[in-house]
Amino acid sequence: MSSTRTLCFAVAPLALALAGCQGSSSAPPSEQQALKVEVLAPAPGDLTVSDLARGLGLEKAVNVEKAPVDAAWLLPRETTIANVPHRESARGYRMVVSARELALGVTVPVLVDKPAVRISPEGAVAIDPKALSIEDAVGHKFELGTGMEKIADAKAMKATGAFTPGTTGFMLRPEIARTNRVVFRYADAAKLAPTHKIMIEVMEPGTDTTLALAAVDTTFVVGNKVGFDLAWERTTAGSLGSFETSAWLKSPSGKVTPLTLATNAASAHGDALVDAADGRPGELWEVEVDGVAKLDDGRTVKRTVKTAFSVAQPTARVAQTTGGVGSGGDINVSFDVEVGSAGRYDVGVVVFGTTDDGKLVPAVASHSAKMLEPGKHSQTLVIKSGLLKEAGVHAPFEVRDVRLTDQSRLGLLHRQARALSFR
Amino acid sequence: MNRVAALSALAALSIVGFAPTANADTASQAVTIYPQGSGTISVWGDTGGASASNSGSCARSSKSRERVYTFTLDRTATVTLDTVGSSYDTVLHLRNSGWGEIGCDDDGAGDKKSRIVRTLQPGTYYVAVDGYDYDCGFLWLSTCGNNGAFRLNVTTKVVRGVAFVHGTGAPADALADYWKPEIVNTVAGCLPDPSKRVVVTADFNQYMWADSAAGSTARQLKAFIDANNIGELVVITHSNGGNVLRWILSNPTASPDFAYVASKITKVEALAPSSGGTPLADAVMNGTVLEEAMGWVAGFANDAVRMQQISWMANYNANNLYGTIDRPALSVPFRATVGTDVESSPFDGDSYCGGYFEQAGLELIQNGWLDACSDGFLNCTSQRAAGTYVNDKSFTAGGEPLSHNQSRRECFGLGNYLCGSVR
Repeated sequence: MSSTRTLCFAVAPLALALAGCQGSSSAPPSEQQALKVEVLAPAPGDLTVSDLARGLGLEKAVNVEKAPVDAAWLLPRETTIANVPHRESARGYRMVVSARELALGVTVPVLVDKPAVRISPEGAVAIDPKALSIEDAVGHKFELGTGMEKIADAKAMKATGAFTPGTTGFMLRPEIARTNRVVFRYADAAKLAPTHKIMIEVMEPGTDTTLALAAVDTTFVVGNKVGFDLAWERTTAGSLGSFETSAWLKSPSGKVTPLTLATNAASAHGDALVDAADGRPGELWEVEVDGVAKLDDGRTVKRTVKTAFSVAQPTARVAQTTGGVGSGGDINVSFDVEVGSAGRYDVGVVVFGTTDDGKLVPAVASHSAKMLEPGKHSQTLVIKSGLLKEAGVHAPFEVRDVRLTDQSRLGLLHRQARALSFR
Repeated sequence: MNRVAALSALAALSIVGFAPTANADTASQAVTIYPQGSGTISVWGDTGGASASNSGSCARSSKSRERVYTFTLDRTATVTLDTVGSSYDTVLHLRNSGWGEIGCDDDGAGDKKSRIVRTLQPGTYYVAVDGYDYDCGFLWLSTCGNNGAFRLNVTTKVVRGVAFVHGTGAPADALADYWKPEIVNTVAGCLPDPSKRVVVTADFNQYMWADSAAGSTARQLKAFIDANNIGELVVITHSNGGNVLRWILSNPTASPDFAYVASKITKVEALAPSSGGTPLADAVMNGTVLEEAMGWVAGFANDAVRMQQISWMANYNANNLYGTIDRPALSVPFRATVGTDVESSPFDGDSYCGGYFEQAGLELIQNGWLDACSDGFLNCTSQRAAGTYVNDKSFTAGGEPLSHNQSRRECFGLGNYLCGSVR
């Protein structure tokens, strides 16, 4: 077994200098030295920091490593680089009811033939599905599990390791589900305190109606406005009659804030100002929406959708990115980094180069990290000409996907799709 | 003119850079050889025309002419240098990149031929083919001149090892509790030296970036590498362990340990990795976003479960991890083995490999929360989200699927399949 990869790692004071990581220019030095370097300003969609958070401590830091470390490696040419926010699509919903409510009867809208239902009670006090009475929309009643399939008691569910203790579940039979609305009643609810909470989750695989939610970016900085887009999506003909939503923003530490959405025909948008960071490093904020819609045929559909995004403290910023060509044909990328709060900061880039057939392709990923105190610093990435040669690329080059990351607090502080051009 | 050649029959090796040099007798003029992987290469030359610029500490005098070769190792290797086949009383001296002598031998190979054996770290080295005294041996025994032929044999032996990194959880004994000796022994048995294996035990109930997760894993791998002079490390991991490995490989600048380990890993075999999260993590965590109401649900989860929610993993993939779509590739191959289905019939003996997975709960989960293509815990889309992938049925005996439980056990020839990566 032999590997064809090339990695270059340098850990001060030990340098692991490997073949491609050293000299051997990818083009005659005179040719690369003649390259014109163009600095590209951040564009819409890029992430930048303006005002710095100063004096933040490292009490919660997940990384206070002192040793500088550099790393670079070759990338396959088919690599694609893009910042695409995750779009979560819900095909089910959740609701929390009390034991009193379940004793009286809880209405559960269903849209598909065989919805799966799970019941997770507070305190792991299992509710036997066969003790649930089910009444469909036309008044038929089903007792002792006769309206269900694939019943899983608490022991069976526990064996999967997937849910909280006490969870039970089942699937509704098609002839019941097709009536679009069923009522669950729990005859033994008297055994529970009236306020005892019970979560009911209904999953509807194969549904033609989903509720999708996406934040407008994958990450934000404290003080920035966070936007969300919500959309009802249908894969079959038919339109949405009307819908209502309830939305919440939840911080990593659990602080919940109601969120107002501006609705359109079948979509909605919300904005929130995140003015403080909380929780532990790496933990995410969440936005969750409960939606209830009337379809044009009169049926009701419920969906609960949630997505997550990160919010970083603006502990440092890239003030300027500049480039140059070294004497051996190396590509140098320098960052003027202004630090407001001490931490370990990583700068990283993807260098694109030109192939013999004229295509601009990803060639090398390069990173450098070190501890920085508050103040102005310069961090330089040296992309060795030997590595570019090994990647099979030459000028023109572009420096893309520029990132500044606070490794101590796991915050992304700068993301720039295109930063430098060498032509 | 020097006479140089490669033994092309040794297909795993190659020699490049053998442009004839007029007088390659100093470090700055050294001819380059590139050992790759394990094997032997031989070069022929003579000292005629060279100068007597250097001498090894074990030579009788500094009057012998010498030829200098340089070679670069991209991984730790045991290197054997000898002059068997030469025509005179040779001396070899091995030097580091700073020309410091790290080995010198006169007659170690017998018959007045030389041999040096050293385990060398990645880097550049020089080896001088010298004589014991005067040009090519004792002056009075030879008038060798251009006829003083030597043969330099370079044998590299890279020590290959395999590490097993478990998935979610914090097993007290990962070998017994998470893996089983059967699969570990099968795979390790395919190594050139079956003792070069390690089973990592870390706390994967934590976030992947936690020191007790990624940090502990990197330290254990480094200790194993150092103790065994491992030059090539194949890591076999399962489920959430794939995320921990990706954290280390995506953030090599986070610590010297990460960079060091990344430089040694040649491949990650990720068995059913949860690269894209799982809807079951969402189900365990929620509830609704109203944490106060659902404390009993969230209380069941740990940080690793929270982290593996679909939208959370999407965020980490976008901001902190490499290897997924629209992100740079990792520095090493990351191959996912995808479990595509679950057979859970109590009447099918195959269902019992690795322990019978409770049928009723599993079927409900598959029907309600997972896609048609899943291993009972992860959708195929999640398992395929990072790196390259291979579907289970393409290599298992009888085309059997691997459930999430079975993809870490010696089921349906999984061990033999993994052997292909360590042989």
